[in-house]
Amino acid sequence: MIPIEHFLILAGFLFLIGFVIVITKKNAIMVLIGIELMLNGANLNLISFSASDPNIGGQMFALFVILIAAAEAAVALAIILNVYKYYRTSNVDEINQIKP
Amino acid sequence: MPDIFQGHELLLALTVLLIPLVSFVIMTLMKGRSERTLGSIATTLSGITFLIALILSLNLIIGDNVYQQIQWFALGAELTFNVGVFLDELTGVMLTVVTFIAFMVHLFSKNYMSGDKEYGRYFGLLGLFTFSMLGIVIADNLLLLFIFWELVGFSSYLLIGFWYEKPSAIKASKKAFIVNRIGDLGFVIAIMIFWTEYGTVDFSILHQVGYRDSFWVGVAGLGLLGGVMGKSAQFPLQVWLPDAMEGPTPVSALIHAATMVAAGIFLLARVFVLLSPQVLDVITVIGAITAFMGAIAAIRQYDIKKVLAFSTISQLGYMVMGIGVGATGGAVFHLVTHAFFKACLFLSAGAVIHWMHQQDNHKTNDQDMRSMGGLRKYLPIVFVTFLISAMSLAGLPLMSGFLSKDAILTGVYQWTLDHSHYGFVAILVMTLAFGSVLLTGYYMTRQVILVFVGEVRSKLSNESKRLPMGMTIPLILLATGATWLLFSTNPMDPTSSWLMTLFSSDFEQAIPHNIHSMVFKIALILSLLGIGLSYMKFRKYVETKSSVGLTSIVNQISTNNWYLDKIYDVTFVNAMLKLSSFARMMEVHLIDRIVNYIGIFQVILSRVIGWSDRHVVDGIVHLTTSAVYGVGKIAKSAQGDNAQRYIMTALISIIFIAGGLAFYFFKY
Repeated sequence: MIPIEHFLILAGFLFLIGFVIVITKKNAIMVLIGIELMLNGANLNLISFSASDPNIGGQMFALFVILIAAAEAAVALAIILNVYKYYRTSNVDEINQIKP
Repeated sequence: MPDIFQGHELLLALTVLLIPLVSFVIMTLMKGRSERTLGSIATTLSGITFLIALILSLNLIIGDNVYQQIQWFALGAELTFNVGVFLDELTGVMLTVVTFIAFMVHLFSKNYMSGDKEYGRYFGLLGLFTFSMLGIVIADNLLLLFIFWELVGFSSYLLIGFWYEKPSAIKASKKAFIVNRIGDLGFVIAIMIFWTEYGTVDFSILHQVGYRDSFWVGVAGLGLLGGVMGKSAQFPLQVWLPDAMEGPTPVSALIHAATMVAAGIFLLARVFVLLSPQVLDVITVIGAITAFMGAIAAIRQYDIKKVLAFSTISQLGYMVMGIGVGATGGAVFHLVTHAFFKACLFLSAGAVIHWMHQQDNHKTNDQDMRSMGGLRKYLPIVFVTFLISAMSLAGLPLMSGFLSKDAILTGVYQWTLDHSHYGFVAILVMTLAFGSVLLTGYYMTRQVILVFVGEVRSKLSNESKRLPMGMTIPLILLATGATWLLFSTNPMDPTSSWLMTLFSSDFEQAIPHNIHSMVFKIALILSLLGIGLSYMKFRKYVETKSSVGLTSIVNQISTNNWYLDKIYDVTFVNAMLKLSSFARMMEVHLIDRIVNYIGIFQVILSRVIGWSDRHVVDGIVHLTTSAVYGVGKIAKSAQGDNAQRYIMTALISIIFIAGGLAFYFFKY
């Protein structure tokens, strides 16, 4: 049996990598990918703890997250598409004003 | 008739005084209007002034004198200064004369100045001039009189320099002004002394107190004499008057007859009771010298106006002499008659110049008598008026000048008898006085012959005999005033004149009658002698040749007016120029240098201040603002536009909070 610490370290790594992508990448789509990675890191964490749990609440929660993530990705991509249409760029540094 | 005006003298006097000023203001405001409008308005106003002045004068001569005062200002509790009017018979007569002559001059100028581009300014200045002179006449104290006295000087300066594009006119006006200032210094000193000695300068009080025997009052009398020397062109300050001919001719008439030179005589008559016997003697001698010098200077002039100018100096000398010997009545009488015939002479000369000017003969000067001659054929009316006035000036019977000059000469004769202990001086005064009578006859005959008799000595292009009505009427009226008609019932006896009954002093009334009859015979003989000599010499016109001996010396003296201008040039003017160039040198080399160094020091100082301002004071301000800016920037960046940095900040904050919490919980 693989000890739980390994899973937690891997999940932490995934989350951190996702986070670094979110704060360093300038492309909005890459930022979105970073967010997906962070969500997956969090999912892994949930599932790891769920393995030693007689109830399967953790796994259920992970399924929810995946579902929400899919919906979120769709909405976010639509927003990015519209922003790109409007500003002719997807660089997050240049998209810095709310007013039309 | 005058009854209805009784009690309104103050109002009338102020009206008379202010109408010419109103005329001045109107002329200044209406500058651009047509000559017709301007001339008519000014002349009408002048005529109204004359009428009111006439009514006022009749009132004053028949009725009582009027002194009315209002408080001008007060210094502390007890020292108040009043101004007001002092209206007596002398004022009345002067008012009439001044306004009448001014009216005539206005009337004459309407045509004479026609075509001048500054017609309005001319009439405005005439108004100002008349106003100033009327102010002198009605002023009730010396200080007020002095103010108007200076105004007269100033407006004469403006009028003499009326044609300011002519350098000679500018020079003449400056000369008149400066020479008058020299005399006025004495006047100012006199006012100060009177204030100190009497505590007032009001005529009404001064007249009551009368002459006080003190050294300083004598000095004050001499100071007043200084003022009179300047204004009435007495020796040694008479040099400005001949040059004042640069002004328009009607202005000369005004200056010589009524407004300016008369002021000095008027002042002497006003303050006569305050003059000490010694001062009166000085006045007599000055007057005699002036009368003689003026007469000598007149005999060789070729400028038609210069002859008249020098004759004015001579006649003013008579008047001053008359005051000096105590014949105030005679002096005032002569002032009045002289006003009429001298105004007439000048206006006639103006008519002659006007006519000569029309001949387009620019080869010679319009005023040069050598280019005239025979004008009686072309200007008969002017010839008659000029002749009458000249006879009056020469003192021929039936003329007003005869009466008044006789009155003065009688006084001089009596004075000489009374002061025979002066010896040489007394005889000198009498000789000069009677000698001038001869010279007067001489130069006036010469002028009449040169201008009106014989053949014309220049080419005529316009032989028209017509003069405008506006020119002839004043001439005729003034010529009437030059006869005895206005002044006396008996053309042979000055004492019968109403002016003499009004003004004659005790001294004059005491003169025995046989002296009168004798003096008038002597004067008449001398005058006829002068006329005869002159007629013999100038009957045939000959171009002057340089002669030798005594005549040549006299000629030289006459032509150059006793070399007074040259003497002043060599002495005072040169000295002043030297002094001023020295002062200039001091200014340039000393004061300017100091000023420059102070300036340079200031510049250096301001540079230093500027540098410290820019770098120290501004630096502190900049530092403050940039510090605030920096803090603001830092604060702003935390919640700024950059989402990624926002997230980063949030994470770091969470780490810190989590770390802090962990530290807090796991410490124990």
